[in-house]
Amino acid sequence: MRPDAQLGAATGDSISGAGIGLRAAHAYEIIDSRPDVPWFEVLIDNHMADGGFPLRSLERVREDYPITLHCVGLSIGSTDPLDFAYLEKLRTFIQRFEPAWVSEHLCWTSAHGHYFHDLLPLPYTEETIAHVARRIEAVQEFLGGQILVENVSSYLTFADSEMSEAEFLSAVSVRADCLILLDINNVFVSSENLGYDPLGYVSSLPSGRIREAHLGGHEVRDGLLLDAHGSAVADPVWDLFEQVTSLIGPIPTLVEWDNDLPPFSVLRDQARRASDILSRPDAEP
Amino acid sequence: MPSLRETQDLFARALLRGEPTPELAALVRGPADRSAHDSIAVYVRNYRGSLHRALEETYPVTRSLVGENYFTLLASHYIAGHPSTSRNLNAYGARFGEFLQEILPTRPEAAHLEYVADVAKLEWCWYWSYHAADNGPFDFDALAQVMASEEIDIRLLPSRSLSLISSPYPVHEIWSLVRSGSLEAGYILRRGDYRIVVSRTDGFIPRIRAVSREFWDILRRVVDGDSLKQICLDHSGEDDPEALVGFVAEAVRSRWIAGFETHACGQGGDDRESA
Repeated sequence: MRPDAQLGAATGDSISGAGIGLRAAHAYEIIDSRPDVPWFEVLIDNHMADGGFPLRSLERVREDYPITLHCVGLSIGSTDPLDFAYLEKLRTFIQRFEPAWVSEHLCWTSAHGHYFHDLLPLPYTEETIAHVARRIEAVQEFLGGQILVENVSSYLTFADSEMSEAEFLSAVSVRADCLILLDINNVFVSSENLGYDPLGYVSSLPSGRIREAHLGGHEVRDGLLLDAHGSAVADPVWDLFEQVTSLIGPIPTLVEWDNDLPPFSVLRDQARRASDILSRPDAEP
Repeated sequence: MPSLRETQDLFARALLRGEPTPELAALVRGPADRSAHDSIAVYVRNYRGSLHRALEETYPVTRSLVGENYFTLLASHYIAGHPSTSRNLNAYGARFGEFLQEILPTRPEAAHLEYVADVAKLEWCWYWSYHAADNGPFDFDALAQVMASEEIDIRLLPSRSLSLISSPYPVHEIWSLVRSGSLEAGYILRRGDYRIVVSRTDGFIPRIRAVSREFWDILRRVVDGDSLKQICLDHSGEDDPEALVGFVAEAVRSRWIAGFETHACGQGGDDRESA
């Protein structure tokens, strides 16, 4: 499968600039005022209903905007069997809403039928690479194209890890022939918590596979940085975003905010700031 | 070196237990100034925090009635005994009302909260109705045609967003007063036989409506799958569905009925048709 054969490439939707994560509380405003936003990312697990406002609002937003689908439910790193009923539903949504692409997190979220609603860490080993790559390949085969996998925030490491997170992410993306969603805030949070160079992390990734960036807020609790998605993007994360953009060039970037949701105008301001950085002359690769 | 599966089993066990375990702590390293135990505790807090937020979002009226601190205590007990078994966080908390019904009578400090379990059940119905699947268009003419026929028996199909609740407390009134911020300290709880219907009607916001016991009982039998002729026989001693025209008209107008099935009288269900 070619790197440009990501899901949704056939729809012709070209995603660029700074998009915003679609949240139910903002949906009426977006539908009514049709703000100047280049694209929206949809947390598809929140919209996988057979009706009601979540589904209808998505239909309306899709009429006016390109979208991407972001999953939290695949549990791509879990040792439980892949849930093909969920994948079938996801495939139906892809056919119906024709997203520019689909992304998921490089983590696990469930075990033995229990769901933890958190992005849980993986040991960085050859065994894990083989396991995760096999599952991503199976998902891509089922969905009919490449997906993007996102780095998550880390608060610990496994003693048995055989490599760095960047090496792990690179190896998985190459082995599974998938693409990368680079969460700038997560890189910053993990690098602060675990003590590594965030720009070194990014520069060691296969840049040709990085198709999207995420920007979100974090919080500091007891000296530890937590990926909270409940505040504005922090200044050091903006700085890192500028450096990453200079390094790999402008890529579609999303502003995401999940908890303590502010008015939509706040997110639009954050997206404009991201857009300004993406359009600077030195952002060319 | 444990396998990936063994590692995830240990991790899952710690999350479900609600605290880091020595077995998992032996496998991980925290940041420089932090123990493995404390680092695992971050994930334990995240997991329980997600479920707690889900309960807060689903049960804002219950939360308001019992107070922030007591809700947190009740939620933590519920979470400890009810791990999430759905990837859909919207589905978490379905049995919170039943849980309150069991636990509150055993707590002396909650003696004045006897009605809260039923309020919580009502909140769940409202929340579930909001997320329920849509109904298709209703064919009024087709229903009128088959109701006029003596040879055809009809089974009404309830809306997918419909729930029925009965309670000795005016939970619909309490729910409404709390939502509008107008429940006063001197509110007098009047016990009775309250029959309540929850369903989406026009638009996306579910409506809560109190109905008569007779109306509610008929609707209950519709939900249970009884045919109109059966309901009529028990209701009025006749098997003429025309006797239920008023009920059917109101139930359809209120969008509590989504469609109907028919079959010829005296025959099985194999020739069933839906509309």
